[in-house]
Amino acid sequence: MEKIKQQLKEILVVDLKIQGVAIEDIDDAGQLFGEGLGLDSLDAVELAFLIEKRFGVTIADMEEGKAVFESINALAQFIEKQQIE
Amino acid sequence: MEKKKILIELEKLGHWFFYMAIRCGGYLGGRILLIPVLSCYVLCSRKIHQTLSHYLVKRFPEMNRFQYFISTCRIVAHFGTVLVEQAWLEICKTASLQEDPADHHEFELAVAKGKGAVLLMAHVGNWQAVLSQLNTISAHIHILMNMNEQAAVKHYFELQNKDKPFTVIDINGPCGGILTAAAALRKGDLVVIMGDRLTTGHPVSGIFLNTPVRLPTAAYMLAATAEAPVIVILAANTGGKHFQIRIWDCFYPEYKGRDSREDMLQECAGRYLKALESYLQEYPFQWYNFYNFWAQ
Repeated sequence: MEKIKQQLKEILVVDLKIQGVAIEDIDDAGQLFGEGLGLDSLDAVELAFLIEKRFGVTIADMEEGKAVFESINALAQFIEKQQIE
Repeated sequence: MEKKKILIELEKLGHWFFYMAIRCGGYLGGRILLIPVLSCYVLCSRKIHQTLSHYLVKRFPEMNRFQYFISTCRIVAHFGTVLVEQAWLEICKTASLQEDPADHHEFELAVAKGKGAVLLMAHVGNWQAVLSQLNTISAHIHILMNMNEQAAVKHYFELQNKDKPFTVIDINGPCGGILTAAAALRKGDLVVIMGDRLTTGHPVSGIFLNTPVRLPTAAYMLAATAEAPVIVILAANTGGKHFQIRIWDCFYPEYKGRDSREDMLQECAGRYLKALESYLQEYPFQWYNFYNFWAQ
């Protein structure tokens, strides 16, 4: 799980290039969108795309995505669960 | 409150007359009834002239007041025709519109690649006709749109394609429905988006009829991440019961990273606006955005 979280943070900082945020600054339980890291709906598309590419996991619908994109913790849990299934 | 009730009842009565005219006189009956109805409307309502003036002064800057009045009448008449077509197709089960042939080769090639496609449309012409003609395509179709527009579109689509359902993705959902649309594209499905109406999400500015305007961008980002094409597909009423669906542009947005994202979105929006301008050069009176488009 920790490895997945680290990879997710790398995606956010390296691939999405969130300005002014370092990997160690990202809180596992913190919000990714809006007030949190400030991601927007376009970032959501790219993040979903990168997750599929990196982990082979698809976020198929918006209800699922809403919960999954809540935080790094939620994302990592989702990816781990999907990989086991 | 009483006034509102009376207006609702009057509207119902108006619909009854309208449907009765089409039941008795078919398509022609509906068109004939349009004449007095639209005459009253354009003569009594100042609002419609104000609303359409935003578009007309930009599209026809050289016109005088009388010409603007006539142009407003022409747009309203075209829009009335679209409404008659819809009602006629609903009432007369054997009714059908005639599609004039156009080159769809580029569209068919893009769809055949199996990478999905974003079909970018606009509130011009009889745009619902595009949806009714998508039944020849094997890919599943999703429409990203506002709940308010769903009923009319679903209705129109189902009239023509009873055996082929389509999925509506609500833009008012979380992340503007964009994740569902992205997943659909990755499956090789088609996603229909109205590219001209900014309701939610990240906007970008472009120049349209020499004036800056803000547009939605989800379509371009979706296509870029899925490596799918954006196909600008617009329909026009070409006279009587005839319409034509044409591909006005087809391009592949290229996403290189967050740093250049704005530039990419701006370039795509520019191409879309250019296609829309070309369309309006040919069909200037089939513009159905009845609000100040440049203030959105």
